[in-house]
Amino acid sequence: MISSKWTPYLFLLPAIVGLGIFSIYPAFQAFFSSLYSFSFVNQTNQFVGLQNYISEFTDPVFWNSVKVTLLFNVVINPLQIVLAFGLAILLNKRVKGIGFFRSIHFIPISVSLPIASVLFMIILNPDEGLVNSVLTSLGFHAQPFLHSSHQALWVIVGIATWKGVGYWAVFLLAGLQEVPSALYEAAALDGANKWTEFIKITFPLMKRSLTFVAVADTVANFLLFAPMYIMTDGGPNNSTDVLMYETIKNAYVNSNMGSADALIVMLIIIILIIIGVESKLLKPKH
Amino acid sequence: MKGKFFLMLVGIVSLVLIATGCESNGGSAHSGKVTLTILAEADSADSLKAVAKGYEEKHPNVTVKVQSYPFADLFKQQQVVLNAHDPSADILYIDGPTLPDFASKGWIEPLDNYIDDSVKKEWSKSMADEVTIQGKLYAAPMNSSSQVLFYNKEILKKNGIEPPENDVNKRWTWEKLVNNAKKVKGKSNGQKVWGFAFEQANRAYQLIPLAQSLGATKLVSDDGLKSSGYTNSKEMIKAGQFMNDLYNTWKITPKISADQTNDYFSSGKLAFIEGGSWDAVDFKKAGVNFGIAPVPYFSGGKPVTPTGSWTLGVSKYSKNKSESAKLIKYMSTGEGAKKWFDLEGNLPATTHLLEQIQKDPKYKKLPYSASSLAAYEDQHDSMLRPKTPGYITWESEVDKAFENIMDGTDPKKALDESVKQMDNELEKYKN
Amino acid sequence: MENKKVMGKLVSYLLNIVLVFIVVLPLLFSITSSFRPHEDIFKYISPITWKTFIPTDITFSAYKDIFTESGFGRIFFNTFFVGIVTVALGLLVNSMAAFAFSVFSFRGKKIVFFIVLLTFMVPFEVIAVPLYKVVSSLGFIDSYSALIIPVVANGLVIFLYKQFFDDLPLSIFESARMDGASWWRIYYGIVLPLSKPVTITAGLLIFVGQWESFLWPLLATHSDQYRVIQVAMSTFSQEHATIWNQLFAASNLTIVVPAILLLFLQKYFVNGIANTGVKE
Repeated sequence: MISSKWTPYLFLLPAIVGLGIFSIYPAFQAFFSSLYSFSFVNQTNQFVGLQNYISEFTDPVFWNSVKVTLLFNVVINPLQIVLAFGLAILLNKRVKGIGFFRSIHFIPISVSLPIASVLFMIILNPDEGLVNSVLTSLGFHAQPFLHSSHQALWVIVGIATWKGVGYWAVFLLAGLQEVPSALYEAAALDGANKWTEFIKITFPLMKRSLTFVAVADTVANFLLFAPMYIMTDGGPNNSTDVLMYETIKNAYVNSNMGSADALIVMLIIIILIIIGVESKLLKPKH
Repeated sequence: MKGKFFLMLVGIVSLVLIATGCESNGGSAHSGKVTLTILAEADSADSLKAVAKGYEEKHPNVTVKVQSYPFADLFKQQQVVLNAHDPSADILYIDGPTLPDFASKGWIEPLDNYIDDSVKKEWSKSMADEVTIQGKLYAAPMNSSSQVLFYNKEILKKNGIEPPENDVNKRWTWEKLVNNAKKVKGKSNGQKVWGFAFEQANRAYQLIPLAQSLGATKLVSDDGLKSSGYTNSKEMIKAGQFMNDLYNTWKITPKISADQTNDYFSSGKLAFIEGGSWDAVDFKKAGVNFGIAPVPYFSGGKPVTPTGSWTLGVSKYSKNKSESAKLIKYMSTGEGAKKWFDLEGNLPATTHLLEQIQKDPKYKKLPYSASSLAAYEDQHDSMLRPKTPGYITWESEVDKAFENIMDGTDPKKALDESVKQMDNELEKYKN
Repeated sequence: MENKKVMGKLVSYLLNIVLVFIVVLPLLFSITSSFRPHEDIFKYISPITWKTFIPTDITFSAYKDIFTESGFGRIFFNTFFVGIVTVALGLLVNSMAAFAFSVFSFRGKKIVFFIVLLTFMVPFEVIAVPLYKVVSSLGFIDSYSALIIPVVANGLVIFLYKQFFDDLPLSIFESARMDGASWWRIYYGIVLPLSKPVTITAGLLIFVGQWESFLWPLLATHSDQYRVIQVAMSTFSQEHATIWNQLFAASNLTIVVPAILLLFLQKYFVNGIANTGVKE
């Protein structure tokens, strides 16, 4: 590391001013507001200390949301990262027409989540959807999909993965491109098989890219609420009621800004713990 | 240490920026010229502008700006602007049942000082009621609304179903509708044809009249702060069971979302639909051969139709409250209301126009006869949605309960759970 | 050996083709619907026949209408303009910050970096009200500035750049310093040219962020002249109807346009610093 008195601050200045004004300051406001509650009787904000947090702890809805959020993320994050890594490796192969395949596989990146949600809702409709139409004509039973508390969360995992894998693969593909091919050539001379190559060369050199994708993907999925908002309203029977959806509901439906802010503070603490673990696991050894 | 110092600096700079910038906005009352800004829904923006133009012509010192937002996001937008105490918005386009919510947060100005009682008499009884909260006037109604039963003539004929008549004295019962909808079989264009759907599938607006038809008189307590015993009354549970049967027992209603039901009727995949009178024009345009009839009631119960609609209120943070009130008074009565009705074609909120519709020969024929029927219903058997400061919570919980019921949840269980959530949320409005 | 190679190629083609189906099939409904008249959208949806996938009355009216009636020409321009300006400013501002974090040790570095990480965990929906107040007091509401300036500094992009810069050997900087190069020169003349792949991905991240941005443009602008695509698309969902064919037509265009852009950009992945061996 290099020490220099003023240089680092000058390089940081524009970003920190921007973040300070447009992210940090509003975020502090949100944090403080988690300690307040709007009194409809006096029409004022009243300081309530940790009351917003305590009332969440005693609310079964909160604990259900914690459970759903963790279940969702325990499945979706590893799934997306593994699939994105696989896709990146596939797209890194120098075969004819790879440019075409890359462009196709990256298409879902530009499908916005609301549009994807609307589209999948039509396709997966239990009575009139295309998927059930195909299933029944092949002799299978029609499925309730988003209308079943056993399936809805996994359907959302599927939709978010359809949309997300290409996106995360871009970052990993860029990382793969930086692995010097000389290393592979040397390994091939030593008679290493593909798997050893992957463990010895690809994976270690990809740790930084993987850390980025793991962290960014985790944050994105913990904050995901558009599919629940558009397709299920957190249902059926609260089976897709993630913390972020509860936050939005508290803020914009139930007029509990203080509770929404408290929920976010807790959600961020959960995210920090998880990405802390992820970065430990993916820490480069050198 | 330097890092901390730096952070502090950023904090101070941003605070200063905010403090100095704060007062520079809004306020335009100098020199007699006034600009009034309406936050409205995108579809209605053009008509609002056109009606406001009539006012501008008479009041050259007033300019009206209409800012439009997509329907689904208008409320969120207004919440942010009002929570930020932004004085740049003067007039708000507000859905009637959410008025108590706006009022309880102190977001809208009571208008009794600006609009006198004689004006209120011009509005229909139901809409005048909707804009009055605990005796105070909070908004001016722009529309009313009601529902009619549409049927596809060809599907009915093919299945040998005698169509209902457009006569309020020969109104069908729900039992009769279900029996007839069950007869709908076979396919058209190789596609499955369904019996019946509510246009606003699973939304409180269309579904609570089912309970009201069964005899429910109140859906929340009189002070609007308790839902237990009202929203999960035995009538509501019975209405929920009816919905459950439509979807899961009789299977005559497809499980599609509210934004698709009309398209199903338009493309000949649906025999009956209960929808807004405004749909008639769209169905005609789509080329459906359809007829209309009054909304059914439960045998042994009474006919009830929903009502309530959009209103204009004045923001508490507006610097031009008196001018704003004058403008909305103009827009919701007399010549303004007439022009608005001509442009939008929605069910009007003034008694005068409602009566005119029922007399006018133009409104004897389809598609306009739907408005005439709706005007009758609005004046004779309409019931408002409940008045509660927690209306948005109430509605979202009722919608959710009905969605769970559609997916097969026991109605009592679904409604009991929703009521528990609602009462939790209503707690904060109590003294 | 040869056999194995052929097999490998075959498997990778097969996988690619399966993936193409997974990606494209869900979009098929949206593609077909955009060429139908509005009342036909759900006409052939179930049970499936060939008519489900092939419009019987092909019409381009939805595409025409979104440009003539809904002003999508301007809307696409706005979204592109906002996206590209944000990318240009964002790449500079955030890579500079990442450079500081990667290369220097300075007081408060850990805490500042931690706060930078925190900024992208705070969802926009929660800070909407305070942010609206800030932006409104700066006088930005209803202008391009409102759409661009608040999102230029981006913690996630700083993090992305930092992950890349951390891999650059410090010896490069030390020897450049010995030669008397200024830090700005090192950043601008040495580090940035080495960073093409990460710059492309960072640019993509920023651009996609703006392309999909909805709630902030909705709150921060209200004039038609600043309307961007996601806000414009949501106006097709009206109170009593959804204009499906126009919604899908607009959505198809919002998908195709960036896909074409990617088609051109992806060659930079191959021509970046691959195989230059800078990595330690």
